Amino acid sequence: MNRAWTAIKRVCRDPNTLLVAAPPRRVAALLVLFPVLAIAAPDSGAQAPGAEHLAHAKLSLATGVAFDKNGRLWRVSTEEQYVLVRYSDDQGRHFSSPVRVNAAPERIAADGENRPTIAFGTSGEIYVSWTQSLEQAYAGHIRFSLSRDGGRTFSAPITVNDNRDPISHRFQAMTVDPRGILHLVWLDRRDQSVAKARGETYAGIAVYQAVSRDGGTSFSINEKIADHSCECCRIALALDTDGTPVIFWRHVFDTNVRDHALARLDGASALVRVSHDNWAVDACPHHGPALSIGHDGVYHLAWFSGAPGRSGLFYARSSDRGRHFSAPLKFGISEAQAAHPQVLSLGQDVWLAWKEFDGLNAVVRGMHSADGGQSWSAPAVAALTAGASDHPLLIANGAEVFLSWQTVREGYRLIALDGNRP
Amino acid sequence: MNGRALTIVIGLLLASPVPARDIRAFEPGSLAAIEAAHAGRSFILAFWSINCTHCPEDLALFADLRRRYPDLDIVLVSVDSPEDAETISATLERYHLENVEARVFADEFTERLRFEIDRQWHGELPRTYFYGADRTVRGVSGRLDARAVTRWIERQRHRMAKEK
Repeated sequence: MNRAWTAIKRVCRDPNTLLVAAPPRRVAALLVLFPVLAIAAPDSGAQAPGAEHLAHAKLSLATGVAFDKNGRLWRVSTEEQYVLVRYSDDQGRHFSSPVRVNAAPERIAADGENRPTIAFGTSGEIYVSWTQSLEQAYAGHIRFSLSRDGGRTFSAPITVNDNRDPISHRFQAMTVDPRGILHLVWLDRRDQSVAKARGETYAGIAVYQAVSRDGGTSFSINEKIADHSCECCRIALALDTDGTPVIFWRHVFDTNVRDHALARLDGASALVRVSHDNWAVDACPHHGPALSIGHDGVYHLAWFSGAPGRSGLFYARSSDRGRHFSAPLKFGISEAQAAHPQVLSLGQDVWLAWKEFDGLNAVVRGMHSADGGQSWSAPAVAALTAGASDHPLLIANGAEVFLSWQTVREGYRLIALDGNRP
Repeated sequence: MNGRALTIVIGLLLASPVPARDIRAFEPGSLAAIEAAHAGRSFILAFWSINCTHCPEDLALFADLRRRYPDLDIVLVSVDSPEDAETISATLERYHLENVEARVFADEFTERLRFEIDRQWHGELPRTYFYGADRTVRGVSGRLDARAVTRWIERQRHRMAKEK
């Protein structure tokens, strides 16, 4: 047996300290005490409200959610080596039995910044994308599958990145514009690899995109949007009122300044620098930004910076499609690990949500603006949990806004927000 | 813990004749234990991940420093999860760091762990703490500057020599 294989068994994942690093004789004792449990492990059968326990090994919290045009809530998550899709017709109280998207198991990258995503075509298609992780470090492929029968079955997954080297193609984001064109964007190492092979330096990696104009049957050749993105922060993606996708990501300016950039994917616009925190660091923040564009066309942006003396969460808005931005507003309590912001605009009504830690609980706090992001309510607690949790997500169903949050203790939660109570 | 988790745990342990030794758990309380174990001595506490682009360069630096200063104390804490132990172990071996104290986050409530470690740390990696013998602690985010680290080590050694 090789050393690598023995290593994995030296530490087991269960947070129970008794079992971490239990010597062999303790195993024997456990078997004596719990033989029946060990044999008759119950599966996650009926899905009672709030009763989904996620505490078992290898279950990821990373969840993608979206409402379709009929108000059905769709949730995509991963378990072991499968992508699972469920839906709810009662705002998250009950969910359908999960449907496996990939029939053949594969390794899936699913954590805070790297989550499966779901979107809907204009002819009833359900699109799912995720990042397959490869054996090599940091390596992945952008995977895609669709259902044309309302989520009963899904097509065999395809790989969207046309560079198939075992390098990073990860952190995908996906949307469908009003014409039905599907847009996938992701972070891609191919140019950095070429530069490295030539002995040249290349800061960060790159942002790539592919589009499908035939309902997900095929994708265009991959197109580079920008060189020098940060390597492992999620990309925020939203549609402008003219249907143009807009992306917002952590970029590497100069050699290692990890501030944020915005680009309209109209084939003509140049990259715009949004934040000037000047966080110069050769580090992986694992902390991507957020973007929302309401029907008034105002861009709302939120991000995290770790710049010394300027560490924390920031919000800014642009009412001229990214030519000018408001002075960044700092929010959240930095010492409470204020992190992973979300923003959602319905026009004048705008919400911010983020995660903090109060010493005992992970807390999602939120603020509401009734004037398009010009002034904000005091932060209020929307939800909390005394255990591990996914990043918070904000989603809308028409005029209703929800916090979507997957936690270990409480399972999946969809919490309605209103103007007075984020 | 539910039945399925227990099954997995028992399955893993049954298949393993080797008790945990190489990679220890980092849990609530671990920081205090590490600090106590190094009381009165300088050491480096480094947080890293198998998924962090800039961490390998620091691992290479630590390996180099250990060659130059064999008595240098380093504690490496992977913020991945125990199920990544195989990859963590292989990575440390690749950088000839198998003899360095290695731990892995064994509490999926990572906010709680980070809160205990440093409220000013927001999870960026690598994140390294330099503990002086006099218990001054300095946290650094991002890839380390080899010359600055060497200067710090020399200062610590100079101080130790003077005290003797």
